[in-house]
Amino acid sequence: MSATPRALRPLAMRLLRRVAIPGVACLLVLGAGNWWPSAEESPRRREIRMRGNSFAPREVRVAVGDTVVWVNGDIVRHNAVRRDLFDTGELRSGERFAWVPADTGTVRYQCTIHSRMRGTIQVTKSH
Amino acid sequence: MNRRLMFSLLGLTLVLGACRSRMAESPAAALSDANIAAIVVQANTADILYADLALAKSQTAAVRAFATMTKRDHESVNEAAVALVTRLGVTPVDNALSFDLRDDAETKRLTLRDFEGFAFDSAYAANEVSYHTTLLGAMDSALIPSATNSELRALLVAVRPAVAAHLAHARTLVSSLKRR
Repeated sequence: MSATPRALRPLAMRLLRRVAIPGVACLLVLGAGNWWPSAEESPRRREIRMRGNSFAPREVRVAVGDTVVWVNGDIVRHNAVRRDLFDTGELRSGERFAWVPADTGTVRYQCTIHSRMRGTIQVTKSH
Repeated sequence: MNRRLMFSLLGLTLVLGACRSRMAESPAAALSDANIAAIVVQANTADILYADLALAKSQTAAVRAFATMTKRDHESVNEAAVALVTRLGVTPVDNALSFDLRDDAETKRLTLRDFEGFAFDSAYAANEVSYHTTLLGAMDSALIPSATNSELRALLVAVRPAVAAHLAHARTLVSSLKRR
């Protein structure tokens, strides 16, 4: 009577190693995915270059909490202004300015030094 | 348009025409980096002087805004150009073209100085169109192709869109003044 379970022990151990342990590991990984924030949800950084007297890209889409960074890649000075929201001030070549949108909506802005230089930021709730 | 304004604009056109002919005569290969540096500084200085005159004489908001923008941009370009040639150890060397630019700028400035009000605004805007057309042509046909130093060439290429934007803006300014 006692020999039978003993004989089955190697088989049980093999099953444990091949099925149960990987299975538990998979469940742990999948479960953790629900608790940890995914890359999709973490704030992102979006760069807008001022180059050739225009904003590039001219239109960007970001989520609330993302960071929008303007970088002046031109030799002449530029700014980016949306009254009541942000004003980068005059940026010299190579200088940058960061802004974090707090609300959703369409933000149209411009360089007040070069009035034809305009851009748009679409701010959404999430990515 | 009164006769005085017409003759003066004709005079400005002839001066610019002479300058353009010089540009066309100058083979691109004849310009050294030191020559180009002198031309760049002289070209920017010329438009800064026109802008100073506009800011001193014009009361028109659109003209003043344009002058403020061009002055600021050309000052930035001159700062960058001087910093670059200083770093490269290049001493700007004047040449026929830079001398022409200097002399033409002084002639035009003296002509513009005699105008007042609308006549000044019109003459200044027309001159800005001519100046930026000539400068853009010179950049494309002589300055950029002749630059041997890669950083100097990159600076010229980077400046070109600003010059093109000034030209487009100057044309709009001329049109808006004509509609008055």
